[in-house]
Amino acid sequence: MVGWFRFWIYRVFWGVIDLRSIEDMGEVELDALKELGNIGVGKAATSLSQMLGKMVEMSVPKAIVVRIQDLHKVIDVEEIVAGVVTGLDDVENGQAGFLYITFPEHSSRKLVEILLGDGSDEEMADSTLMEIGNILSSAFCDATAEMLGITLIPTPPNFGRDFAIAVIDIIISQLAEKSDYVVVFETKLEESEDELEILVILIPNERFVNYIFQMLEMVE
Amino acid sequence: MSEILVGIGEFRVSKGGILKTVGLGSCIGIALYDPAIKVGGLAHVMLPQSTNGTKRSAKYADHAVEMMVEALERMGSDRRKVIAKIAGGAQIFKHMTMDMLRIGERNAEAIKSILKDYGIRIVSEDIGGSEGRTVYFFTSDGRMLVKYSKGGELWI
Repeated sequence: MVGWFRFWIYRVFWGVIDLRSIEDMGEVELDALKELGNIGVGKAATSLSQMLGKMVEMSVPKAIVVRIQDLHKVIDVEEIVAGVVTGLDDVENGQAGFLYITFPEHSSRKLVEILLGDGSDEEMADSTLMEIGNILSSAFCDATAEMLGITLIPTPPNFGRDFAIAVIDIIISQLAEKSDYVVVFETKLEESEDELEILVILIPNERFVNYIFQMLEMVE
Repeated sequence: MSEILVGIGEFRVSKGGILKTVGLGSCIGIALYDPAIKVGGLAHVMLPQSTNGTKRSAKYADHAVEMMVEALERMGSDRRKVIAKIAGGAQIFKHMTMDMLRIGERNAEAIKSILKDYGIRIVSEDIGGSEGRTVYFFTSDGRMLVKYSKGGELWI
């Protein structure tokens, strides 16, 4: 009852009350975020299986909240990756953040081979990876809709091949004014005997963080 | 010799050590150096200019230069002798939206005017392009090594 009341207060005073940031997240909020990653990955595995016409499994991701300054301690920022970036647009309120999906060089090559049978055409390979990025971010948006009741739409993907951090620093910089944190989901994609590493990094702005808080206040 | 890693939005100073920052995309590495006493600093900046009232942080170029100059002064440097080298500001994405176009180069321009305000001369630079950079700054002699993501190297 109290929870609902507080929820409505938030609805009414949206924008007046200070938005909370990712630093305010406790264990419960982090668990919710993990669950979000979990559902998203599950959905992505289903869509990828359909697309590939064979069984694909994805491991339950760890979720780690990292300060941007410490990102090099958690991921290999100097690894050359194929990276896909999509914006997460909230239909009602505007942008909620970005999703950055990286495939290490060997994983990306393998993935394209599985999909196309031949990875020699670079342009084809790039658009294939962009499509996989698209599927993953759509799955993530589906998960947010299911869990948080918020409709997010992924923007058309951007693509780059470079150091893991160099691809994304333009996006991180844009949000750096407001937030110093990102959420890293590490997952593995398994297809028969192949194991492909995929790193999904959520770069939320404070709007996204508040979705999580709001949801938890509703179930309270 | 040991390398000192400078994280994103951070800076470090050293006398004689090798300062390193990895994966500069649109971000820019600013190295300051006092050749007289051989001390130097390296910053990995993300944004050109802080807005009024923000907490001091090396993620902003103006704050980074200010903080590095202060740190070098504490190590005995004279700010009139300090010179600069800058690298970074690439455009990695193949398809760009308008608001992200040339962000790296615009960052570089802003940094040049900040350094000019301090009277710090830029002796060499490597800006722009479409490849990420990792930068090593040797504070023993002020040389800077730029390594590109696709394998090239450049001393500036």
